[in-house]
Amino acid sequence: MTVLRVSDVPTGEDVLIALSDVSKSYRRGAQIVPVLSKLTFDIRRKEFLALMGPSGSGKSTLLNLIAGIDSPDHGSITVAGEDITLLPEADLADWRAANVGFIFQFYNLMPVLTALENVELPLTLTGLKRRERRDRAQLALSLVGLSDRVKHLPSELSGGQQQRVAIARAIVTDPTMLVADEPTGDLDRQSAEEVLEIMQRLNRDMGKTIVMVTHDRRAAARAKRIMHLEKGDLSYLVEQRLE
Amino acid sequence: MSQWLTLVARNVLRQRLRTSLTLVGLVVSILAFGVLQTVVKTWYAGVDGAVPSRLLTRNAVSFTLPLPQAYYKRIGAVEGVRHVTYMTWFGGVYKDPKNFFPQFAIDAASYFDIFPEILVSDEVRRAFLRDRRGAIVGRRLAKRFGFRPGDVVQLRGTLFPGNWEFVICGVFDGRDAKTDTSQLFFRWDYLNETLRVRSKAQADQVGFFAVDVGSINRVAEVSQAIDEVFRNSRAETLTETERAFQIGFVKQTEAILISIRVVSFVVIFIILAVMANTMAMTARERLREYATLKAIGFSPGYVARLILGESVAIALVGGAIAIGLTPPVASRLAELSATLFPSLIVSVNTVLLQALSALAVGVLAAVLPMRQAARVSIVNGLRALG
Ligand SMILES: Nc1ncnc2c1ncn2[C@@H]1O[C@H](COP(=O)(O)OP(=O)(O)O)[C@@H](O)[C@H]1O
Ligand SMILES: [Mg+2]
Repeated sequence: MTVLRVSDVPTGEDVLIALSDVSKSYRRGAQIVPVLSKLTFDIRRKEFLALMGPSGSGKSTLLNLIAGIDSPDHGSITVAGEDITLLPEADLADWRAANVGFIFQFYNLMPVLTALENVELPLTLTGLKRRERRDRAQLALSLVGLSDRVKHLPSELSGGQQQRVAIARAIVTDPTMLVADEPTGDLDRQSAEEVLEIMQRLNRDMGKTIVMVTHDRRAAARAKRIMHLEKGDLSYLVEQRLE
Repeated sequence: MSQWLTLVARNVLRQRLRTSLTLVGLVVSILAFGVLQTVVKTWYAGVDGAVPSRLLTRNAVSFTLPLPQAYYKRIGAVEGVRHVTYMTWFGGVYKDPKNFFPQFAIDAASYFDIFPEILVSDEVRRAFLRDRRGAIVGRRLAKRFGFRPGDVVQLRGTLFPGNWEFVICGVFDGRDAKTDTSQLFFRWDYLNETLRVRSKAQADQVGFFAVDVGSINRVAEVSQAIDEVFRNSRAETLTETERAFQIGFVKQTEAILISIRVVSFVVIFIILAVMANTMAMTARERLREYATLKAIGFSPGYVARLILGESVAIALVGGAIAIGLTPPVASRLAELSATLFPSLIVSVNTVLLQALSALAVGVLAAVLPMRQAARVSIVNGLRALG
């Protein structure tokens, strides 16, 4: 394991996400709370990056910017050559639908839809036929090992199973990247390991670029690279290789 | 589209208790609205039911003052008059004042020519002409007190002194639902003979005349001609269409009618407020789901349409149930009201108004929650509890 300064990170041609001079602050009443200041770094294709840091350091904020659900005050965020901070709201929604798979801490499944319907949901934004959508959703569920739970409602599934459904939903559109905010934060050890196993496999076998926020060292250890965020500064970067 | 429908339908069924309570509120309000509208319409219906070519001639001073029966021949002689008849409001009490129903002393020979909406069999009519003390009663009245042919009915006079006995010789029906069949008719000649004995000053007089001129084109001309005949006589007449007469009567009750109308709309407004509150609560609880949908790539408009669909679906189901219940409830109310309303028929217009107000409640109740859900940022929505 080697520890490098952020500035030492090499930028290659296979950069997928490039942040340049990104700042973000929130307004709390009359007060302006700076969260991220002048961040510049790259995330390469097929990377599995873990973002660590103390609570309130801005990990989620950073992830939201990368995923295009929040916008920075300054700076640019370029994904596959496209500066997403310049996209109008409606185009950004289309961009997310095509490029980003979301995995949330609390799964955020639609409680009234079955596992299969939840996974199928993002596909209704595509031009796919109903039959094709079903097949793809089935396939995605089998990839997370839930082929036998298609008809179950989220309330009929364990936390770990719900998170696996959420992962299936995130990958069903075959997005460029997956973003995960504390994906194991609400799970027991066993379920967490299963979920991390799946994410690792998606990265390793299917080449999915994954950005994962976590405060759990064991979770972070699954990633190929770990970044530490300290009060809006990417102070340290730990590069870690899988054997 | 089908995805949207699925989500809307399942969301409707999600909080069963809340949805049921909202539905009950909707049904009660839209039902009340429909019944009140029907009451108001029925009150005005006498005006609509008036035959346009029928004139009523009354004392020019007041319709409570009588006219000499001797005017009958003179009115009949006026150019353009096809038929004429006369009648007197009796105003008797049957056992108890709360049993009120209209009673008229009529001229049995001429009455039915002018009021074809009163349907009597030839047999009953013959019996009525035979028996001086005879009376005919409407179907509704007969049902209410169980009157049968041969029964003797005693009325206590209020405008005319003494007790009066009549023998029922038959029942009449109305040509349509607007015809009041809660009335009793007896013979004017019987009234008059008795008055000659009991109360001479009241004899040989009638309440008003009804005139048929055949065509509405002659209405103005003939009514003027009639009043001209009696100008400067001891009892001048005022002839107007039956319709104008009834409008004059309805006008006296206008304030009540307006209040009822206002109340019916207030009821709708209240359920709108209740429903808007319910939808706002529902939308607030689902902010995280809406944010998730938006993150995945659904538009704010899609999210807003989920709320709209849910609100409109609940409102329309409530409206449909209410519309289904209105006719039976209205007719039950008509029964309970005894003779106040001959019948309460729910008009197509009222049904349309009910449907429209249900739709309006559904749409308007969703407006604020839709805006809130569409506008809340994804990041804030995801942080919301729920
Ligand atoms: N929508 C918001 N409005 C106001 N303040 C916010 C908002 N989101 C985050 N913050 C603040 O920004 C800081 C970083 O938040 P966050 O990115 O969620 O941290 P982390 O995920 O590392 O715990 C915190 O102080 C938090 O209170
Ligand atoms: Mg966080």
